[in-house]
Amino acid sequence: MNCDEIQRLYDAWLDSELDARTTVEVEQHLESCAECAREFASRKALDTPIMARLRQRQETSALWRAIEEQVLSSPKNAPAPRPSASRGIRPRWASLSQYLRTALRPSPAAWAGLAAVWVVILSLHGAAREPAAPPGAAAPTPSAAEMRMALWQKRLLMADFAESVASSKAGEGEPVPPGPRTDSSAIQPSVLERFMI
Amino acid sequence: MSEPGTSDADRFLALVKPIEQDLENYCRRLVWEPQEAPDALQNAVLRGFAAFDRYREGASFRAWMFQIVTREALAINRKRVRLARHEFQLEPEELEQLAAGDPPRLNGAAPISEAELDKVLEPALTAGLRTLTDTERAVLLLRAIGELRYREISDTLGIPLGSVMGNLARARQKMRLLLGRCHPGTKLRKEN
Repeated sequence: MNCDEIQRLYDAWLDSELDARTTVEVEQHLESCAECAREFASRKALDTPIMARLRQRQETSALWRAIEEQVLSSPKNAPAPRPSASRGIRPRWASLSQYLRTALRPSPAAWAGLAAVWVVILSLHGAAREPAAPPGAAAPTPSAAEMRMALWQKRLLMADFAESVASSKAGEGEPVPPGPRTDSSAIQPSVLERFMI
Repeated sequence: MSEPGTSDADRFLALVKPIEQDLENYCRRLVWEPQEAPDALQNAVLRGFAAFDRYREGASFRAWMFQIVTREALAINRKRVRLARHEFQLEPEELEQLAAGDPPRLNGAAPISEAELDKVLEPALTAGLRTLTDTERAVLLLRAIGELRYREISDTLGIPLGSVMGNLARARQKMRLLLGRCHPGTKLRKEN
């Protein structure tokens, strides 16, 4: 190494940051080069007291007592609330969520268990629903009684309609507003019998 | 592993206790305005405690705390930087020397007695630190007060190792210039 290269290594040499081989090279150069040796010594004569003065410790101030008190009274240092001490909905939810966080976060098994519970819930929910008829499937055939009842309801409606048309023609031509049936317009049991199949 | 019955605060304070003086000294030297050091230090320690969960046991707590104090102090400095940066001006010819990156050489081992040096040292240091950039000052103080290795300083400030060496060399050079300025017996000469 020449003098310029050695000079660039001054700080690392002073701070013992050089590897062993480079340190030996620098030391050998300083032994053989009076100029560099003098320069290193001059810088070191100033740098050493500067660094020592900067490093000089002073008495710890009272500030630290205040800082320590702040750390100790920090919310982070507050003890976790006991379940019995929590009152009201919000503290209970807070304690529950805190419990879940601490219980579930570090445990993969707990997460797997929670997932299994959800699978069971969803499958039970699906089973409880009435299955929809598949597309294209034939509708169930109604029984004879059901068909008779439906037919009877249709006839009843048609008779009711025909009766209301006849009564409107018999009147003065004014439309009859819809209203509750009177006793005379009510379907009599004998009429019902006629429509029964 | 933490001992049973020991809170995080107790563990944190037990680690801080041995480095209290160094942290305070570092913070006082790093901030531009000395009266802002208590606030910076207090904020930094509380931030450190808030982030204590993320501190990896086995890592250097000292370097970790110095990093937090550095960030806090530099954040405060950024607010003040325009006020104080150039309070202490170098002579134009000395500034030219620094800008040219031409290291001035001392004329041999300057025979300065310890008493003389001590008399001029503190004012020169105070003045000299004000001529440094934030990075130069942080690197110099992390080395001097934090006693961190170059690699630790690089990690602490998030700058390359080469930048650490460059900033440290420039910082020391400026400090020597200031000391030479304050001590007439220490003359500077330029390299051929």
